[in-house]
Amino acid sequence: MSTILKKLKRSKNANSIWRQPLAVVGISIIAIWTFLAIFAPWIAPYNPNAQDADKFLTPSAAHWMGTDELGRDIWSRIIHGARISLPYSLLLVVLSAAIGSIIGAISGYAGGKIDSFIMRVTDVFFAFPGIVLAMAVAAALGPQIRNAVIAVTIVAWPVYARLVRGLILNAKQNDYVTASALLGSSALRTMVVDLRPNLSGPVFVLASLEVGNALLLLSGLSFLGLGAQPPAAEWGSMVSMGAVNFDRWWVGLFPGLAILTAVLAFNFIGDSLRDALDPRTAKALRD
Amino acid sequence: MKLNFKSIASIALSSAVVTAGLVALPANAATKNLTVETVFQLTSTDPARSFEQTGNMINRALYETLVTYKGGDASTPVPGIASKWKVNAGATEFTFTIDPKAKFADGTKVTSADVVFSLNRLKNVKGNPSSLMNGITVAAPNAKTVVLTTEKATPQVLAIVTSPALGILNSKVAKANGASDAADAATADKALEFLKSKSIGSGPYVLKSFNLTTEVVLEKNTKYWGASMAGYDKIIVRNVPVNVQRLNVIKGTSSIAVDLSPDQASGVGSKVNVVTGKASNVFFFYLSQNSEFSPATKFTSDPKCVEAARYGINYNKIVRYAGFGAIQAPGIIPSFFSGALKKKAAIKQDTARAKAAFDACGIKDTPVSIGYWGDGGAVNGLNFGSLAALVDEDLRAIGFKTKLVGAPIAVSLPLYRDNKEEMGLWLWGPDWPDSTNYTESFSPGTKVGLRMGWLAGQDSVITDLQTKAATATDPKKRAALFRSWQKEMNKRSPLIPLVQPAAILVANKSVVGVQDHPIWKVNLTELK
Repeated sequence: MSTILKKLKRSKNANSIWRQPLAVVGISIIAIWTFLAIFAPWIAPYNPNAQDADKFLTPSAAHWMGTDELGRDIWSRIIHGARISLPYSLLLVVLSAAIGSIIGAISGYAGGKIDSFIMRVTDVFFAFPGIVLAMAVAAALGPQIRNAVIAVTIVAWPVYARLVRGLILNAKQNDYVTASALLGSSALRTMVVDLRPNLSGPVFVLASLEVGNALLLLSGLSFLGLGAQPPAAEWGSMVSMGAVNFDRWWVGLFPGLAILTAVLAFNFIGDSLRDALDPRTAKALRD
Repeated sequence: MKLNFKSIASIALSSAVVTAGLVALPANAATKNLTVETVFQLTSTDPARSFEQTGNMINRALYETLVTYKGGDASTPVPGIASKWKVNAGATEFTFTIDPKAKFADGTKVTSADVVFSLNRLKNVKGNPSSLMNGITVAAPNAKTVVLTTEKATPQVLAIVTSPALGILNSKVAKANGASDAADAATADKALEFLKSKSIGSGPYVLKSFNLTTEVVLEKNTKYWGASMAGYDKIIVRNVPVNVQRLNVIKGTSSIAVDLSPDQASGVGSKVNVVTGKASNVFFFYLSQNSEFSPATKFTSDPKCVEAARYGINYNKIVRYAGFGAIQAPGIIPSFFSGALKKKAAIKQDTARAKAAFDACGIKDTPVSIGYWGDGGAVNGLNFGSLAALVDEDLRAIGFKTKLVGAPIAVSLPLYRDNKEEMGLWLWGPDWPDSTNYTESFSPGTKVGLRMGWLAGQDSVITDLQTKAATATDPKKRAALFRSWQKEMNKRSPLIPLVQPAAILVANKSVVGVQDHPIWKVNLTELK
């Protein structure tokens, strides 16, 4: 992480994340959502689960985004929903990045049969559509947000394993790795001390790009009733209620916009981080 | 090519002949089709194994029963295959005379042997609806007469006989395709797959195709024997999510949407009719409490805990969520049936009483779990998750530390049925249209009673009323017994009736005869 921060600090060229408008927009949006999530109990005008108002009130001064089928204030639920959607999305990206990186590192460093075996396993995971596999896992474990995170983590780790394996296969040909081995370094020390600094940048970039996907997948599971459970305010399950009450446009639109802005912001940040930390890929994409 | 007068004249003549021929063709190209959309509650089109709403709707059109109901009525039987019937004074013997005109779709006459075979098969195949035949013996003294007998007075037999599960099959064709009515029919009967590919009944429609996940197609029975022929050449019953049903019926791409909630049905526009039932839906939602689940806390076996929950719920809020046409369930027997309680008898929220009862109950901070159909499950447009959220907030307000435990229906339903839920949010639809269905299912030691850990002998007053109501033959006395039974249930049973949603169908204005029915929802045979 310190390596990444150093890179971000010293990059004062055109690629600097702070000089890219999309990055600034993305960071601003996430900052606003983070602020709303942290201070939700003080900012939200109503208790998100209070069923005091009439149902299906249109947006008004009293209820900025209207009320839902149980008379709950949608704006308050969206603010509180950020406390579920954002942290859990980040958590599952961290989990899947950690698991995928460890498995990829073992695969790439060990090589041979172990590598072949691990890569065939990842192939199996890649063969299933992500949402279908996540649905199957979430349904088997039981619908709740914790199990949805486990389900999405199970779906999301292979992409990191593939990336890290490729990086390790490339890096372990270098002389400094051979020298480290000749000095008697263990495999673990070589991976952690010698190889890790070259892996953290690309993994961080990939992870930042994946947060948006993770949020979408998590919201998708809740939309299908396999994620957050009532009465929890969660953006995906709120959109689900909007789909059932299609002619009450405000019920689904505002939580949908919340998902849209957050996913867009994470993608802006991910793209900008890639430009700043991984100029080769960025250049290849531009060309 | 050189054209002379002769060739031009011959071309003109032949064109005229062809055109005239085409114009003179019979106008049979336009077939009259009807599309009904619903969320499938369907397992098969085998009457002996189908007990779900969509199955009842389809089988009602394919197979006829001895007697049936017209329109939205479920109290006055009308002739079906039997043209007349009589009941003895003790309500233990029911004699049906088969209509001599009755014949199956293949032209074969319906005989008493077909009836005996079909009803014995239902009893012995041990399918979901087999319990309808409990205590009923069927015999055929001659080719035109069928006699159903029971050991004790069972006035509800006529109502039971109307269930599409008691539809009559062509016994010869059924036997030729693996069906059996023998005592070992549960294993010996192999006709399930055949009956999903072809119908062998006498109804106004025959089965054209069956797909459990997408659609079931019915075609007109051109040899139908009854007075009223099928109104459509083809009926397509499609499995469609509720929100899509709404869009399709508004656009006119479907004719009837079965599952819309009142909220969804409001604002559908002037191109369609919103048909409400004669009364609120016969389904009712309830909160059950399992008195055996938690021996450590004794939560639900403590009458004070049950009282706290019963008086802590804001029923008005639940009715408001259920939308127009919905009512608070005053008792277990829905307002449609004899002996239903009046609205004023319904339990009213009393938070002071609930809080006092909660303090006396003494469970304090012990968590209490409420199970329900959790993956977006909804019936009549009412979402179990939303209902659970409503109940949850009320119970928390009086001190319960509730925890909602939703699960897919495949997980949650067995937990409830196997008596493994502490509290459960469920609904009940009648197996047969009579109040005895409720007394025989919710009393101590009965089907739902056992699911709540309420064993036989635990409440002699309620059991006594149940027994008396089951055998009473005088309508007024029966109704009074049903009311007394419910009042006692409302005092101390571990079940809290919540809401009866409205019965609503949304149909294209071109469809005539749309009525909601408590058992088969839509009578496809009456649609024109």
